[in-house]
Amino acid sequence: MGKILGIDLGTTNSAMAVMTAGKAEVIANAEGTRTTPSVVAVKSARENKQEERLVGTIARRQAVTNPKDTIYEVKRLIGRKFEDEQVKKDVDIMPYEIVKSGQGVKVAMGGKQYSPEEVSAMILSKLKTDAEAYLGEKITEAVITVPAYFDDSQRQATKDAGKIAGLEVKRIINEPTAAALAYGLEKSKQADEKIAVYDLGGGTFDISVLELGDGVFEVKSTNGDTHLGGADFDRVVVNHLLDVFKKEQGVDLTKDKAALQRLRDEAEKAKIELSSATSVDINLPFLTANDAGPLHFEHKLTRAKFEDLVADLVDRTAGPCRQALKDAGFKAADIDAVILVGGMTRMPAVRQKVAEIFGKEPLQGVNPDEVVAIGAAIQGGVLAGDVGDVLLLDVTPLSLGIETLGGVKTNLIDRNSTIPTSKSEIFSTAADNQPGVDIVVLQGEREMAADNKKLGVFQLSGIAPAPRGMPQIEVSFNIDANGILNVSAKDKATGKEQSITISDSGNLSKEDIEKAQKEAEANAEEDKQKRELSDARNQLDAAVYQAQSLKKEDSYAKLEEASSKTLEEAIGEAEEQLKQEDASASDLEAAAKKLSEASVAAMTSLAEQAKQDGEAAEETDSDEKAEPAAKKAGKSKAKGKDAPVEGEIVDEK
Amino acid sequence: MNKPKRETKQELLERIGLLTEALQRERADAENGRRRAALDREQASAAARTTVVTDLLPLLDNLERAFGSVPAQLEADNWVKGVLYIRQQLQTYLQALDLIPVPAAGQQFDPATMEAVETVTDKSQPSGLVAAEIVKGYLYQGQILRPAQVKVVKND
Repeated sequence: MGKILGIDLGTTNSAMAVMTAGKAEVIANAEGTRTTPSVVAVKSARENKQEERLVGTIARRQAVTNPKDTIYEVKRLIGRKFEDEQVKKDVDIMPYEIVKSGQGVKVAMGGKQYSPEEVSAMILSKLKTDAEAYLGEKITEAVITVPAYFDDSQRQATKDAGKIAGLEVKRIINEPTAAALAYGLEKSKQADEKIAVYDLGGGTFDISVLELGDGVFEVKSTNGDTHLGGADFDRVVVNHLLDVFKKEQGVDLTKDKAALQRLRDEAEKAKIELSSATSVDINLPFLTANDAGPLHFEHKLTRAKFEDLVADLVDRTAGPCRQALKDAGFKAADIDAVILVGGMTRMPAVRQKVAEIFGKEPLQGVNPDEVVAIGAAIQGGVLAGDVGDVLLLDVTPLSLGIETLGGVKTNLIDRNSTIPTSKSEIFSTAADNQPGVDIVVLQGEREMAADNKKLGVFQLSGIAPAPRGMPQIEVSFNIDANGILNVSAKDKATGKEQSITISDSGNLSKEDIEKAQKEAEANAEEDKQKRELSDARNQLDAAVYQAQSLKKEDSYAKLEEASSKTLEEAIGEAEEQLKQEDASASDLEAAAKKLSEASVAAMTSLAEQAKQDGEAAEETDSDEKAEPAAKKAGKSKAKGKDAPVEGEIVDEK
Repeated sequence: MNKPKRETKQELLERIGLLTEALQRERADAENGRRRAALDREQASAAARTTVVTDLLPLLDNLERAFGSVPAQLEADNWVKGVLYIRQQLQTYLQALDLIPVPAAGQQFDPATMEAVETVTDKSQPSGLVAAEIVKGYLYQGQILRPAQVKVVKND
């Protein structure tokens, strides 16, 4: 059994995705783009009789020269009867011919008639071929999405299109349902979760209200506007630019097709940029010419002006949303989550409007152009068993680490790491001849150890006497697939090892996890300051230690009095700072800097003296300058333990 | 007594089979993923270059437009000639990068490398011929970077 392709068969554009190693991945087409225009054309055969079929970008590029044989937006016709209102409208609008065939419709292309299913099949077939080329394997199964308002006949026709393209359609799912799957909302613990999906695409606007019950999404209501989308926004901007140019230069560009094309391209670019920038400079030199010579167009378009221009379009989405809520029998406040679909929803004013309508910020994180295809792939993964119980890959919801010097938390495994996983790091001691270390296992996102959840403590004792920073203690974290955490600490010199097993590290409710993350965010600034203070204190402590070791050297007696006095003073000041519990980070850093400078000066002068004395003093020099081997200063919790106690294993749970 | 039910040998064998298949699948996914990641890395640097070149195209277009409408009285001007040399320099550089203009004017329209933005009637020309090039298209290292925007002859 191969992979199941998830396909978002859209009105203007289509996209596809597949599950790879438990994650949905969007697949680019052969042209290298992640969406494919839903356009099909037959290039009329001339010299070499054989007709050529074009699909996607290439079909769109030749539409102008071949409008009668270029089929687009065929999704508006699929599964419909010729007598439908929608079809009647399209017969008048579409440049291609729509004919009656039995009860249904067919479209004419290259002198032949095709059913909408056959045309859709040509799009699906291209997607299938491109996906196979990318994945290097055959694709025979698919999940295809349709709008929530599609009736049985439209769904059946879409399924048939898949069959014609050589795909077994494992399931047809609703586009809003796919979007909800992409955000993982089916896993929601809350009963009867209510979800609004706001889909503002290239040419259509859809709003759907869903309710989740027993892991199944039920569509409560749908509404929308079949002729409202990104293209309308582009048009408004182009018209504005035309007006500005006319006012400034007195030239009407509406008849100048080349200039109009440049304006259109620029307008779309400006629209996209204004989602992230607050203004764009539109710069079109040599846009056109009159008798006086070339004419240029330079204009600054602000986001505020753009929002003003399209305010009516954005407002037009509010009515359908309210109606959908009403039809579903919900109030805006009942909605638990709002999802955005379609490129236009990147526009800040659209997001704002959505937040205003539903009184709630929409969810973010999944590309709105790809969210439906991703959801289809996830559904495919569930059907293929990729997302089944057997090998469900989980993640650690919160970071895991240990307490280190100064009450700081040092992470070994970051939050959202996929498990099973393991990680080890070398730590050391904080005091000379420290006989043991306490390993405090912590879970959480806060910087200071005390603010996190303590999962367990154990002690590694029997460390051979050594100066601080010298012993190498390897701490290893290992989480298995069931979320069981094993922490071990090993003294590399003696080979002594202790460990602890914590079985419920992953056993957290969604609320607990969110609470922990929110707390970390809320306290981020304060935590950072505490951490900096602690780091500064550790740094100063290390500097004092180094200076004291220097004083113990034999050669120290030879140091000039001025130098030794400066050093003594600096040590005194540093110790004073360390004693003060409310010393600021900058004071501690200043003292550390002063002390380090004094130490370096003393060492330099000692080295010079040694040279003058003609002694081979290099050894002592280099020893003094050597940094402690371990990068991280180790645990502070030695607290002068009298006798090494047997390591005890504590499992607080 | 709430003794957990022991799985039969048959059930265990089935489970082993399932797990083995799942593991193999996962391993294969990981292997394929690694291979694709290596390929992606290769393509990423190429893509970065492509982005730079793509962003350069509008500048190149505007330079072409500027030289497309040099006022007659300035054509012999030495200062204008100097700027012309700068354009030549830029063209030489881009050619060295393997950025090649798509031949369009007078060619048969080809949607693989061109985009039709307009049709024109011209009885002296056969239908399907490119009547004029509006914006130059470019091939970058053999791939189409941007299609040429063209007017196409259409006589019905």
